[in-house]
Amino acid sequence: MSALSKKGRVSQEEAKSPTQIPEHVLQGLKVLEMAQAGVGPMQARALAMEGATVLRIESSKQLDMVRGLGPFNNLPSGHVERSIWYPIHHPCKYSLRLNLKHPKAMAVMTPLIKWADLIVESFRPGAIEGLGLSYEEVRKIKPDIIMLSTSNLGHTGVVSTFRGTGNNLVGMSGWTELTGWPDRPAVQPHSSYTDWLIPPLGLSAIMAALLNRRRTGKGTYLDLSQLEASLHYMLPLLLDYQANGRIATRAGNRNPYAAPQGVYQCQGDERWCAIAVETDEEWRKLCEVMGRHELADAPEFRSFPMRKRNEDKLDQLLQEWTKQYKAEVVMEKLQNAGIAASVVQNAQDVFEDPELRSKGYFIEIDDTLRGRISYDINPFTFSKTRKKVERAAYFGEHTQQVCMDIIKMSEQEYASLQEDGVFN
Amino acid sequence: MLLAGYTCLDLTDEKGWFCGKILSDLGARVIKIEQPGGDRGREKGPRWEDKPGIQGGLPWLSYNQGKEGITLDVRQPKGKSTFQRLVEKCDIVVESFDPGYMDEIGLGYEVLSKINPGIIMTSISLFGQSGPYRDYKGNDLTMMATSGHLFVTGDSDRPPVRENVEQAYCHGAGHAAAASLMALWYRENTGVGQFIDISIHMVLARLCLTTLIWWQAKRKLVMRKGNSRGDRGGGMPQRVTWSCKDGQISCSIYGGAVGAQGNHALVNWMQSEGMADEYLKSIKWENFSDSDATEDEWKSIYSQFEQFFLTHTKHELYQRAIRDKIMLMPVNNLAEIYQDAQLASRHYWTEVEHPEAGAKLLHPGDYVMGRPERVCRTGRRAPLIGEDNEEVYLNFLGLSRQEFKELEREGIV
Repeated sequence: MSALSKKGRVSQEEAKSPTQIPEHVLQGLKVLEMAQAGVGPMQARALAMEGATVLRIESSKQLDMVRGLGPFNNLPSGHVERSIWYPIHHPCKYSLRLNLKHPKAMAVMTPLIKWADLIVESFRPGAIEGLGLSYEEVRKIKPDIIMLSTSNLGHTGVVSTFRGTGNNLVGMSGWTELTGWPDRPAVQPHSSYTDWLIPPLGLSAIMAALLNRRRTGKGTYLDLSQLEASLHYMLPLLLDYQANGRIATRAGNRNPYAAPQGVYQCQGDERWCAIAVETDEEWRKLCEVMGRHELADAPEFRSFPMRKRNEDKLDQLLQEWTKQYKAEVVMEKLQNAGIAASVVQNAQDVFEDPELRSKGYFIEIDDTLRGRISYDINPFTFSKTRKKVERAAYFGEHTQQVCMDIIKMSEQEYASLQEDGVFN
Repeated sequence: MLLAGYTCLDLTDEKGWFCGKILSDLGARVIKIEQPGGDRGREKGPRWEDKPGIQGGLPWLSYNQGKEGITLDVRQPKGKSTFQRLVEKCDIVVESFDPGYMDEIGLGYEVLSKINPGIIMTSISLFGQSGPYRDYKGNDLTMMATSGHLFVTGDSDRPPVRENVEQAYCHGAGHAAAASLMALWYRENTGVGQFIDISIHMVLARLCLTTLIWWQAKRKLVMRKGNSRGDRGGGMPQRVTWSCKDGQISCSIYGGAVGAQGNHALVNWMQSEGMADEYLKSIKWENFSDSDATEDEWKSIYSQFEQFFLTHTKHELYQRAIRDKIMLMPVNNLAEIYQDAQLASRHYWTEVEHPEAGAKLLHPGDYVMGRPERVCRTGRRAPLIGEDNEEVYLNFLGLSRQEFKELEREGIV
């Protein structure tokens, strides 16, 4: 915890001495997180793993929903640290237990807001305002604060108080309609898919706002609607509708740029290889690898438009070939010939992936309460700064230390607030 | 603008376009460098069909909007030195050539950082600049396959299936933008620039996070479950996508505080139309545990919801969901998204003028909304080939007109 008090913004004088150059890219950045579920915590997590000091505020009156999501460790039912999902969202953060609805909560919040560079919150729109912690209120305490609110549909507009999760936003934002087979109803893109689209965009806005504050001294409020941000992943399809009136829909595994392209069954149960062939050269090489030289110049396949027209036949040809081999063998044979191919990796494959392992993507930490957990690092590698990986804090683990070290409360003040129930 | 005063040189192909677009949206000056004659990526379809003269397909127009466009052959000695002069005046270089290519042509980070020690160089590639798969090929489908996401998407009686959206590169480029700005913040604090290695594969591995959790905790493989989520534990996969009277909707049933209010409202509505049985009416959702409910209980709940949704339209269901705080949304197609009232009320859509086409298109607008000032800028269409050559070479870089003409004559610009 001593790290907390040591960390401050790097001054110009410090910067001049190379021996004092911070080892983490975001060292010195101070963040208050009042967020739940996925999108908000994931952004604060990315900051924390690059060395920002992130204080996560949570109340026992309204526990994060992820604490109730399995899989569970061996702790008894109802235990607050039972979810294995939860710590993965919260490594490297400090945990402060605080009831934001308590009349004396501001005795803790006011100094923390003064301390912070950035607030990340993801309550349902209206909730943070109801707590008296809207941007307009917060900036009265800290005029140059940066605050990011993220929600399904944004904090203004006709249905801004809508209560939803990424689960359903996937449907609203067009992703579901585009997923599956053309002859069947749409299926759910795995997971709360939009949750994975938003963090890099939110983080970019946060960093831009911090850079802006450096330059101008001004703070910023960022209202990040997950619907609005997610649509930027499908710009060409939206423009295709605008320009050509075409409404994209699901197309199995095909796309306009490749033929053959598909997911083909290989030896073993649920083993598949994805293959995509775009150019004539790749097509010739594929024929070579399959030992079917005669197909290379067959009139029905020799040009891209012809291959596109005969995709069903190509799928059959490939399927007959791939099912004789293991998926890994198919991938290797094709990659060696310069053709895009990949095992359709399951979770075990990804967990053991040689590429990810070679880069230390998973870091295992023993945790006396929760057992051993593998944390994934941020997926970008800086040449001069290190990542930080520490186990997720236990609920309220740093409450007293934050009050002492950051807020500089006396023991009596702390005890008195505790007695009043502020930390419940 | 948040990033006013910062300049990014963008050498990317389609793997990295989105990075520069994000930086440009947030106010940075982004100079897209193409080879003389234009990038091959401009050819990528779909195209604007009745406007054959437009320089570039819709992917190009989408992800290069807001940028300035110049041409420069960085492989020629004189092109190289001109690029180096640009690097002196810039903050970020982002590129997505095959790993090692920039080193090969003498423009690797070692060289660029000597010219400008504060430069941030961000390299985006399929599998990173090192590692066993460094030279592997890939496209959107195969990259989504490596991520673990494809495996868990689709009907269980057919192969895993993709979303029909070219998206893998956007994930990589989005993280490239975030990381570049983190490095820029560090540079502003320390004076030290650095190199950033983005492996699209590594970025995509996050997409299957919840299945990785099941594997590491229980050695359980989550499988694809069509309209449901298989990563939620308990007696049954969590149903998410449902058919309704005129299409599909998305609705999740959560027990406890998260879902109680909406579930009660939905069951009351069903009851008022005679479509909830005694069991469903008796559930105390506040105390209902998703994980502890049995398969039979879930089956009973789901079959009643399934029947009920079929009797109402998307619109009816969504309107009631808004009013009663039910966790339900429509499954929209892209035309319906353009009609969404919430987006309209937030003035989301931006009209972008394409003078060469003599037409305007409604583009998605600011991806984040700011207060007290707007934080994004949108609305400038993607550049024509070499459109900003004079502005960048003469005004920004300070070449003389004669030097510029020479570069043109030699085919470097």
